[in-house]
Parts: sequence; structure tokens; C-alpha cells
Amino acid sequence: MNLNYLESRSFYIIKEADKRFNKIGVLWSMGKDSTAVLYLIRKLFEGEIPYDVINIDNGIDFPESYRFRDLIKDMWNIKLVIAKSKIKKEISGFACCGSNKTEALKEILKKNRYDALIVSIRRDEHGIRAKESYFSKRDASMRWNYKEPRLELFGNFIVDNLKEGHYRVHPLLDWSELDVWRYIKREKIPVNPLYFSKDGYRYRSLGCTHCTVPVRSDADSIDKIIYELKHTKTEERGGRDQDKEKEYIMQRLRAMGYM
Amino acid sequence: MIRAIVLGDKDNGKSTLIGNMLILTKSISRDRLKEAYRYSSKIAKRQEHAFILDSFEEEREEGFTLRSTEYKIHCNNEDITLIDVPGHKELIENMISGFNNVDLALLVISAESDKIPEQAFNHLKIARIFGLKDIIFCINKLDLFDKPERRFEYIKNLIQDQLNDSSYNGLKAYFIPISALKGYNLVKRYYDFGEGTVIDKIIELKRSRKKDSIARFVVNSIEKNRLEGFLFSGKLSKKSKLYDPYNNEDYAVYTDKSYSSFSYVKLRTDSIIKGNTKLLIDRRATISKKEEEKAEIFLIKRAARDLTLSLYYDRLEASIKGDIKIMDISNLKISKSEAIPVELSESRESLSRFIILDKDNKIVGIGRFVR
Ligand SMILES: Nc1nc2c(ncn2[C@@H]2O[C@H](COP(=O)(O)OP(=O)(O)O)[C@@H](O)[C@H]2O)c(=O)[nH]1
Repeated sequence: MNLNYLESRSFYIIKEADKRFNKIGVLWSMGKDSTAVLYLIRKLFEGEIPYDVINIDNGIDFPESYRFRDLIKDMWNIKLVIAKSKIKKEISGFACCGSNKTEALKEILKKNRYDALIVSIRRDEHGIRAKESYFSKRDASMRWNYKEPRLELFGNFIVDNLKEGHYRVHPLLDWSELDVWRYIKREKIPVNPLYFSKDGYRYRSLGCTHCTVPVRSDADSIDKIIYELKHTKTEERGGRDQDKEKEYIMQRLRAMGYM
Repeated sequence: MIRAIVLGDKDNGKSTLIGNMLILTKSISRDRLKEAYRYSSKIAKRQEHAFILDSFEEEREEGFTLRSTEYKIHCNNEDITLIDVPGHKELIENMISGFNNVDLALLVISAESDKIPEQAFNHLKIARIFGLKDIIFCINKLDLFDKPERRFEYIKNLIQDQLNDSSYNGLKAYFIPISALKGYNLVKRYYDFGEGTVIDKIIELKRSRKKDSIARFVVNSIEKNRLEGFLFSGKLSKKSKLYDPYNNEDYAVYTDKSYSSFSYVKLRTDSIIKGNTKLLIDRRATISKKEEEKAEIFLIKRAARDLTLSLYYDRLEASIKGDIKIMDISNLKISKSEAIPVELSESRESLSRFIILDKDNKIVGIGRFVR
């Protein structure tokens, strides 16, 4: 897709959110999509990121990711809010992402009173994500009532006055994995080094150390990643435990409030 | 880029059509396909292409689409977005929400039945309100017939008889014989009768479509003479002239470069904007600020007469006068509570359309202002 068009679309969604919500937080996983979204916000607001940037930290992310987090924080002058999630036992996949991260997010939402969260999901990631809307309501327990019609005709987003719960804002919904990489290349956006091949393996999608496995790849530059994606037939999230573990897991995770 | 919405009553084959188009144009990953087939063999006891789109547990168990979905395919150097919507009458709100910036519509009709489902015509009327003139009728399931050409002609005639009704004035119908299941005439030609393949027709219609050239800039924020917003249609060169219909002022507007439609634009005006405005538009547009406007609306359920209209650029409290039909087009008058300017235009790019909301912010219908 045309990158200018996608960028415009994202700007518009972010600005519409900016107009409608009082306190916005951006979820940042240190992965390429959420880093691209931080970049978009910064470009739109001419060098400033006017929102809290929330990183849910379970303490077991890759050292590369932590170094990358510090680097971006300083370079872009980010108001970083770290939501510590507790690792209860040696759990991973559904239980880890479901209970640990979601609990940490719930706590920070309540504490800092965000009425909207910018989340970097894309339609092409998963069949269920394809059904998402740009603005998507969550109730007090962060549940998504996907049976409600999506009210976002004409780009004039219709937003309910929420007494509780919050809105998810999805500026990257229309982008594909390839679009994101092409944009990263065009705008020279820094990315987490884990995406690049080392000893024949690279990460295509980043979770934490417990549930992410690298894929076979020799792509050690953005150009090679773009080439690889143009020729691949497998799913981006295939390297994550979560997706394979259980049936309809994504649906359950989303219903529980997972990103 | 083309956006095509896929309409039709439930079970006529919409999800199968999109699913198979994704497969035939290699626009879906092997993993996703495997996942879909695994569940379809389990639940439906055979490989259903529809499972690629229907991803929720309920959708698969019950066998129908709950929420609209968008899928991108790339074919013959064109990006095509196909939008799947629920066909069920009960889910018509969800269906309407699929109409975001749509260029054309496919209407899938199964050749199995001797009667064209009423829901297909409801969808046509909604498409009309959205300004969609080109409708590609996909006559489906022809693989079930020994003499597909005869069956195709028969169904085509049934449809054409009904299209003579004045509700469909201006509509252009194209008829394509298909089997969504077998993939006949989706991407490659199989039947030698009818109007070619679905893909070719979509691309042909997109290329021949003329857009009006009116610049419509929806304002997002104003600070003195600096504005930000979205250019919905037309073009802006570095220096253009635009009209503010809210305050009845003309401005010269400046941008850093030229922009085409669907761009987020930051611009400067030659003087400070007087009062608040939501819209800057080319002088050639037909704008009305009357207290009462003529409109064409499609209500999906009974509602109070005092309603909210959500326009592209603003919200408007209004009340409806005249006979209201449910699940049909009503021609009536709308009186506005404020002097909000509205555009009167037939063109698909225009801002004349609105969603009708009740007090609880729920969609009760759609409409457009007319001359
Ligand atoms: N024989 C045949 N069956 C079809 C064809 N297209 C769809 N079907 C079947 O019709 C049923 C309904 O299709 P689906 O795509 O779910 O319909 P939707 O509700 O309009 O999305 C499914 O069982 C399909 O396998 C076709 O071209 N030929």
C-alpha cells in the first residue's frame, strides 16, 4: 500500500483520538510496530510525544530490548511509564500474556486514569484482529464486546461517554507487516536489533524470552527483511507459543483485555 | 487502491467468495489457511473457505459472519480491499459499518433459489444512499447446475425485473456467473457467457470511474491561521482557494507541497480564521444552510423523530418530518437545530451523507442530503 496514504490515515486517527480523550497512554512493547507508532506520533506533533508511553515489563525481556528501551527513551525524550508485571511461577504463553501482562495493564490504567490507549495492532496479524476497529471500546474489566457494531463510518469516529473502561485506538490497523518495514526503511526508524539475523536466526515478532522463538533467517538488514517478507508464506506470529497453544486463544486473550 | 464491499443475504457465499479470492491471488499465508481448514474440517466436516474470514468461535460454530472484516489482495498491479459484511437481517448495523470509503459493491446471489432474497435489495438500497452506482451481481453456485448458462440467464432476468423499480434509478448492474466454491470466474475465466471475471470487472470499473475534483478539507484543529485536518477529496496545490461555509469567508490557503485526497494536511490561511469552522471546501461545491433540508434516508428500525446526524465533519441535532418507512428508502425533510452547512451532491466523494444515531448513540439508519 501507498505509505503516504497509510501515514495520513494514522495521523488522522491519532489526531481524532487526541481531540476526544483526556488522558492517552501509548503501549510500547519495544517491537517494531509500537516503535513505528511512537515515531508517527512524534512526527505528527513535530518532535514531541505528548502522551505517557507505557511499557509492560515482566523482567524477563531480552537484554537487547532493555538496551533499546533506554536508547529510545533518551533519544526521543519519552515519558516512560513502566508497568511491572509479576511473574508468578514458571508460566508462559496464554497464562503469561493473559494473566501477568493484562493484570499489570489493568493496574496502571486504574492508577493513571487513562481513557484511551494507543495500541499497535494490525489487521493482517490475525483473523480476529482483522475484525477490529480504529476506536474500540473496552469495559471496566477490559473486555471487548465484539458483537457491538463498529461505529466509525466516514472517519468521524463516534465515541461514547464512558463512565468506566477505556478506548483502544488502533492507528496501525490498515498496515501490513511489509508496510511497516518499508516505512521503517523510508523514515530510518531505529528498530530493536533482535529483528536482524544472528547465527542464522532472527525474531519476526517479539514477545518475552519465555514465549518467543526465533525463525530461520539470514536477513540481517532491513532490505533483506523486506525481500524475505515478499517471498514468505508463513505467519508473523508463528514464532510465538501463544498462538499455537490453544484453540481460539486469541479470542480469549482479547476478551480478557490482551493487546 | 480499490475498496469493494461484498453484499448479499446470508449463505449466498460472500465469505466463500472472498476466501477463495484470497487463495487464488495468493494473498493469504499458508499458516492462516491451514488453521482455517483445520477448524472447518472439525466443525463443518469439510474445507470451507469461509473459515478464513469467519474467525470468532461463534461465527464458525453458527456458520455466519458477525463483524465486518477487511482483506487485502494484490492482483494485476492493483491493491484491492474486499470487505465482508454480515448478511443476517439482525446484523444490519454491523453490515452498514462496512461501508467505509467504498468504491463499488459486489452483490452475491445464489442461483439455487427461484426467489431473490429481500435482503439483497435492502443492501442495494443502502448502497444507493452511499452513492454506489456500479453493482457487480455475482450469480453464485452455478457449479450445482448442469446447464449453468440457462440458470444464469434465468436469475439475471429475475433481478433485472426488480431493478426497474424507481428505488434503483441510476444504478448500473453487471452480471457475472461464478462458483465461489470452485473459483470459477473469480480470477480466471471459466464460463464463456456473462461479463468476464470478478477481478477484471472490479479493476475495469475502478479505472473508468470519474471522481469529482472538489477539494474537501475536514478541519481537525485550528490555531489562529494554522489548520490541521484531512483532505477527503480533490487536490491541494501549494496555494489554493477554499471557502469556509460556517462563517461565509474565503481564504487563500498555503501548504508545503501539493496533496491529493486522503492526506493529513497542515495548512496556513492568509488571515486568521473567524469563528469556529469544521470544513473548508472548494467554492464550486453546492452548500446549503437552510433550516430544513431535503434528504433520502434508510432507517433500519423504528426511532424517535428527534435524532442525531453524524456527518463526516460535524454532528447535528435534527428532527425528521414526513413519512418514515422502515427498511426502505424514505424521501423526507430534516429540520436542523443549528445552522450547520451541508453539502448537496450526488457524487460519491461528497460529504452529503450521514449516519443517524438515537439517544444511546446506536445506529438507526443512514441518509444523504439531496437537492
Ligand atoms: N456448491 C457451492 N456451494 C457454495 C458456493 N459458494 C458458497 N457455497 C456454500 O454455501 C454455504 C454458505 O457460504 P458462505 O460463504 O458461508 O456464505 P455467506 O453467509 O454469504 O458468507 C457454505 O456451505 C459454502 O460452502 C458455490 O459456489 N458452490
